[in-house]
Amino acid sequence: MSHSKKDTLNDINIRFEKQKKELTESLKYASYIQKAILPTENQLKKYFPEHFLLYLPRDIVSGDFYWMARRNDRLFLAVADCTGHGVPGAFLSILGISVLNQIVGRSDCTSASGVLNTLREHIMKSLNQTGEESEQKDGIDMALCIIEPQKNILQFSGAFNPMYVIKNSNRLIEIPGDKMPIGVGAEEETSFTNHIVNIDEGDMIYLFSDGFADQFGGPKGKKFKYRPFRNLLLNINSMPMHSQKKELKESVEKWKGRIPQLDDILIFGMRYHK
Amino acid sequence: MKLLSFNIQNYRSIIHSGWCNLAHDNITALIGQNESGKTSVLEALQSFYEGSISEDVLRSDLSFPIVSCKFDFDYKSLFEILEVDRIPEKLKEYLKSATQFTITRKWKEDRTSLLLVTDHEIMNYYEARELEKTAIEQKTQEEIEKLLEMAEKTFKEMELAEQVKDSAQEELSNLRKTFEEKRKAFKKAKQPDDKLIAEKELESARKAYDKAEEKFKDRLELFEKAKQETQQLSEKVTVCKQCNESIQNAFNASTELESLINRRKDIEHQYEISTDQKDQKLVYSKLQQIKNEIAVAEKRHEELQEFSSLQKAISARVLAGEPYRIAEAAAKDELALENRQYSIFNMGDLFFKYIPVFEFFEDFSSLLPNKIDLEDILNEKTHVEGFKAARNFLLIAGLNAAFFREKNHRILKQKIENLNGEITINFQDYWSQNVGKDNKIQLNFELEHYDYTHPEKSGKPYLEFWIKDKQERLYPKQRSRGVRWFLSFYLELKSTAKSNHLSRVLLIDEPGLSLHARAQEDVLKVFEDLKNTMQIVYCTHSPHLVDVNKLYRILAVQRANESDDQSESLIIDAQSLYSASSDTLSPIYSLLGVKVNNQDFIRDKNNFIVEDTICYYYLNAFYSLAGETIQPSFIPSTGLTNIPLLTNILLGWKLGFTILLLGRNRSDEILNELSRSVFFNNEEQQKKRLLQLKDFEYPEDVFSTLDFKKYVLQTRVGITSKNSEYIIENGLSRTVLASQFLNYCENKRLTIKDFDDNTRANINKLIDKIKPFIS
Repeated sequence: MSHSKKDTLNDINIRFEKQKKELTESLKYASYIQKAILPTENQLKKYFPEHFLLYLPRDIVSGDFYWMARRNDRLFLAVADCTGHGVPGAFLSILGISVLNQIVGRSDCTSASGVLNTLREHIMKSLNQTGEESEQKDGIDMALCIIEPQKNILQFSGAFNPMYVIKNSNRLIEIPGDKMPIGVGAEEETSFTNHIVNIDEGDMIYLFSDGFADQFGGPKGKKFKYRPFRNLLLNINSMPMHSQKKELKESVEKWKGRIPQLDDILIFGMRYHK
Repeated sequence: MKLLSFNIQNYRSIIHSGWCNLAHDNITALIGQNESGKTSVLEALQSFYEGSISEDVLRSDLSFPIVSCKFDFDYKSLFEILEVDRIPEKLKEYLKSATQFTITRKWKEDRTSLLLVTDHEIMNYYEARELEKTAIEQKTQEEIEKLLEMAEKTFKEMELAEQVKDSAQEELSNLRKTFEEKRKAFKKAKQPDDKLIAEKELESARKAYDKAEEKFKDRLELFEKAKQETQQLSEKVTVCKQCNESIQNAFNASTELESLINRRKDIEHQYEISTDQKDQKLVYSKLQQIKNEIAVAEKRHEELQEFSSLQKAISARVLAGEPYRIAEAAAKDELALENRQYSIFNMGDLFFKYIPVFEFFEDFSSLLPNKIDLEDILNEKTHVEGFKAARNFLLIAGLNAAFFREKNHRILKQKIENLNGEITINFQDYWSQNVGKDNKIQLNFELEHYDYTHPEKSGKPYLEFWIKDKQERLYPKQRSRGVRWFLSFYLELKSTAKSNHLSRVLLIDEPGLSLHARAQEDVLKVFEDLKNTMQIVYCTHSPHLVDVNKLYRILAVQRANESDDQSESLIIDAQSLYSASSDTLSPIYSLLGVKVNNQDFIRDKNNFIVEDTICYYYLNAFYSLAGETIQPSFIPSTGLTNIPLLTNILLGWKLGFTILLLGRNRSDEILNELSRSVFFNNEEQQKKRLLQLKDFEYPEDVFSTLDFKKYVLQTRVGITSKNSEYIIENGLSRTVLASQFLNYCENKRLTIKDFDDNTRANINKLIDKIKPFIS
């Protein structure tokens, strides 16, 4: 190869490196912003003294997010998964969080399904979605609950994502999410279902995105799936919070082996105390 | 196959209508004041179909009319008309997935027109193809210029090389002579000295000769090379010159054609201004002559254009290195393929064959004769008076020649009597007017035979028509103008619907002008009956020809500046009726007034005065959804400010009523007014007669967002404000939405169970609040 060609290639490589560095720095900065709008550990601890959060973004910024708010003795908690991951997912997550804050500020939004219904309207409006076949079907999958400690009840509404409650350390109750996203779906919009669940002191509540169960790995390179996930939770639910987080993290690490992480992973677990 | 929408430009007072949608259920009414441009819309649609326009259609700025119509599309049927292998490949896929297509008719200066398919994808395809072709032609032209320049240079070089070669040859020939002379001198020299000198000179001459010979060979080689180069270029040069010549010829032909067209215009002008009959005759003959010349010139121009295209294609190939014969054959094939494929104009013409027939209904065109010879009908003698109506009559009755071949006179008479009964019943289904009490008119026909008083036709059958009622039996011509019009209208429409399966768009200008209000409503009944067999577009001033429950059928036509009948016409669709002027909407307002006379509208008690027709529609719909046994009578006011007036009228008539106000913000002011002027500050009376529902500012807010989208808007959009706010923010017509909702509920037989918990709770809450006021 002639000197001049080699020089040109070197120049290109240097330029690429520079651009990559700039891009990574810029994304890192974006991730700080994203973290800043997520609830802090202290905020979570204040209302959920016993909880853990396993948050493993696939890229620097994430399409998964968690959110909490308190209004009139009600605790709102959501774990969500935006379409895509990385930058597009992160944009949608910021939109989701800001709209959730707006909705919860309104006095007329008192049911979990009402929050999801209203959030869907905002997302459809913001993304100009009208259900046309040709348009992008961006949206958010979400598990949202409203805990009312005074009544020992919990309202739950889910867009695809379910919620698990483990009672007496041995009975796992699955509260299913509706099969429609927050955003425009294939079918015409109907109201999300509002589930009401009685909760008792010491019950474990888990909200999560699909990243854990959908991770490929194991000896045959298959998905982890939900049944093993539920069994894992049944095995670990009585452990302290940090141990549960450690077990879950190790399990997914072990499962994926050399296969790269395919999606963002987010699990929020909490032990209910009145 | 349906006409979905139209777009009219530069047609009489219409500058640009924008896309106007026809009602989905095939009946569209154009309403507006006189001179607003309603008839122009119908005429423009008719011109679109027929292609002809008159001079007075043109606008003063001489911009030419353009009318586009959008149709729904079934590619399977269309592919029966199109030859698949003639559709450009890229368009096939598009056509398979398309659900609509647009045809545009553009008129030219000579008032002839072109049909084009103007859907974006199709236009883009042809434009791209044209651009590509032009780019190739331009490139070829540039290459031709370059080649001709190079050929000229090469030719000059060859000429120069030839001159140099000739001069070297001449020099060689001279040196040859010198050498020969020296050789002779050498031979002649006897003395040794002389011989030595001669030998030296001979040697020198030989050398000079040899050198010159070398030089000549060089020059000759150069010349041969230049000659070869010139020869090599000669084929390309010939092709390029032919191409240039063909382009020039086509250009000349186009100039000639243009000049002939200009001459025709001058002659036409002369013809228009000439007053003397003799002159006019002379000019007319000149006009005919020039028209013939134009026809010849057009043909020549077309041929030369085609030849020039071929030459361009051949040149492009020859320049790219193909031998002439191969290039010629390939270019011809290429052009043949291109000519075989549909052009944008072919597409327009072919798609046009697929569209519905547009027919302008002519008043009294189907007037029944008193009598007509059967032979004239069966032999299709269209010029015979009343032929069309009589034929239509027989068509509706389902009669043909075979029917009249029945030899048994008694059976035939009986059959006719039965048919008369059926036709009358069918006609009476539409014509609800009575002539005197319980006396409806009947349509009758009879088969008679000429007697001796008509010796030339004696024994021949004829049909006699009657319009009877209980009192008298009159010939059609003896009946009133209104009956005649309606009968003509009935026969024309019913027979059109029956005649064949082709889809039709019927254009009707002010139907039933001479009819009584009740009979005008009968016209609507005929429309309703026929809407599944044809599309009807009509214009009207009459409130009786507008269905207030189907306001989506309305297109309002008005002048941009209503006090200036020279200003442009605007067409406002149903969604934007709120922006039409009160004068334009007067048929709708009148209609609401007319309905007040209806006995079902106001009752002795349980009358609820509501703010407007919007509340009227929604409240009626809510009651019907809830299936309540006692339904109050809602009386729409024309706005909050008119409620006191309406209240006074009901008070005056001693009718029981309650004022039902929605919201708190807007109604507070009117509450004060009512307390003062209606209830005279009597709180007891006010409590009994006034119900304020503060939970809902507008009736649209009774729906949950999801139900509002599903049943009222019928679209999937994100709504983050109150329903009523969304309507206002997006400039939608509340009246049309309300009317559509009521209609939708009735057509789909919705019940309250179809709505979600929120809406149900709100409707029940509303009904519960009204209940105590119902007695």
